[in-house]
Amino acid sequence: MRLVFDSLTGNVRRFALAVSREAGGVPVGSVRDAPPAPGEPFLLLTYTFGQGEVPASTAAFLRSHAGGLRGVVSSGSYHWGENFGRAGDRIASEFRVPLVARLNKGGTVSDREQVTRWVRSHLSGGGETYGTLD
Amino acid sequence: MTRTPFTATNWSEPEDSFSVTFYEKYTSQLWFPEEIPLSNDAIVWKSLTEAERWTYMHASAGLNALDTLQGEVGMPALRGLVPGHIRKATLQFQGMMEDIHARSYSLMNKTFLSTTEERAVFAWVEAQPQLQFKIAFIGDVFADPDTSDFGLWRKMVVSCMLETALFYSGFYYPLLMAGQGRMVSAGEIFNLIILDEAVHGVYVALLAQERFEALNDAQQAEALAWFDGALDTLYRNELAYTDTLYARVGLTEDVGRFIRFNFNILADNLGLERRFPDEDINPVVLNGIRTRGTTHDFFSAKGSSYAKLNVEPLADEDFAELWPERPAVAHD
Ligand SMILES: Cc1cc2nc3c(=O)[nH]c(=O)nc-3n(C[C@H](O)[C@H](O)[C@H](O)COP(=O)(O)O)c2cc1C
Ligand SMILES: [Fe+2]
Ligand SMILES: [Fe+2]
Repeated sequence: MRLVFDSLTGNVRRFALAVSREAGGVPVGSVRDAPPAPGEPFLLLTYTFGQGEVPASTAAFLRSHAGGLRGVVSSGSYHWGENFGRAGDRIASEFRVPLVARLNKGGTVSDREQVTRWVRSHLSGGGETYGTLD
Repeated sequence: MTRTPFTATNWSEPEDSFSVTFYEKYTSQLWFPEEIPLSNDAIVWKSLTEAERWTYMHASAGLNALDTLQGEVGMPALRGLVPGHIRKATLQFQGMMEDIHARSYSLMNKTFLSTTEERAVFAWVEAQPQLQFKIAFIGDVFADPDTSDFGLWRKMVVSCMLETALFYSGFYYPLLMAGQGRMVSAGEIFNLIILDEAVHGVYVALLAQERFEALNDAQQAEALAWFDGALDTLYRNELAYTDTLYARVGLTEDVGRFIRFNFNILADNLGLERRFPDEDINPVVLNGIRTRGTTHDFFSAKGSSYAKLNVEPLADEDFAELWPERPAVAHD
């Protein structure tokens, strides 16, 4: 399991790096420079842009790497109302993976703990228990 | 002596990967206060208590002063110093919106207040010590002749402080009222302003992050120390301002929480550590933010969405079910 993030202003990058650390050094990289090996399972962390849309860079990444996608975390901001973090809903339904968390901007401590738990539970094979948000 | 030739704006080869997106976002969400009729609110206004009206009108008047500062001083200062035609155009658009925001506040005053009351509110702005302190502090940073990366970063940071944190003592009350189904048309105007400010705060913070990256380690440490000091000064001033505005309606504490929440968002935008522990904010206020952004369709329903809103007043208890402790987490 690795973490793959896309980030414009740094919120998702900071969140992904923190989760990687807290989960004990899980490999982490951006959609631009560290693609997972074919079939390697990963959690995608991205943000919401435009009017509730998936950023173009994330969409481009998914076109060639969706195989290992196991879950998605999306950041956004409350100001966008129903489009809050909508990129995550779109990806979750298109690729039939769980939306692990929806973050307001950089996310809270409890968001980090929750995603870290999810990542830990998916390390080394325990891959069938996802989709449970407390 | 040869002159550097003056260049034209090339939108086909933008200077960065994001400014065009922001510019397009602004043009797509351009709005004018005249498009949102306030007549229903004028009736509601009369039903508010004296204290409620006082807080509402002074909160708006303070915002008017801050938007006037941004439109007249802040955005033009950044625009003058930031290189790049597209960036300058984007900052100028932001500056124009600040003037439109200031006009919105003034139009609301005009609708709800008598001429005498209106004059008294504008006089209050001139005499309110915390408001004038905030404006002077920020105005001094904008006027600072230091235009090095550090100097420019400071100007961008105070701009972001306004956009993302210091406006929120004023935004709190209209959001709360709108969340309770009161003053909903004015609430619609506030929401349009809040959405503009949210994007301004992200854009200027992105430019600030570049300037911060350009500093060496020692300068970055100095910058962070300056940030902590400025934040501390302005935060304490803001709590005093909040008490002046909200003590009579018993909301000082709750507004304080909202301000800390927004200072944390400011840190997120700037790529810095959050300065305050996570706290939940009033769910009615959050609802005031969250339910509006999309009832307003910027392209086709500008200003008419208010008519569709259900105006049954909401109380905190109504949210117990809707909002378990952590509203940011999805429950799929
Ligand atoms: C132009 C623009 C459009 C945005 N659109 C949305 C949106 O539709 N929904 C949302 O929840 N957040 C939206 N956001 C907020 C970002 O998703 C949010 O700031 C996020 O934390 C950015 O992540 P990053 O810092 O990793 O780039 C938008 C931000 C900008 C600047
Ligand atoms: Fe403004
Ligand atoms: Fe603004």
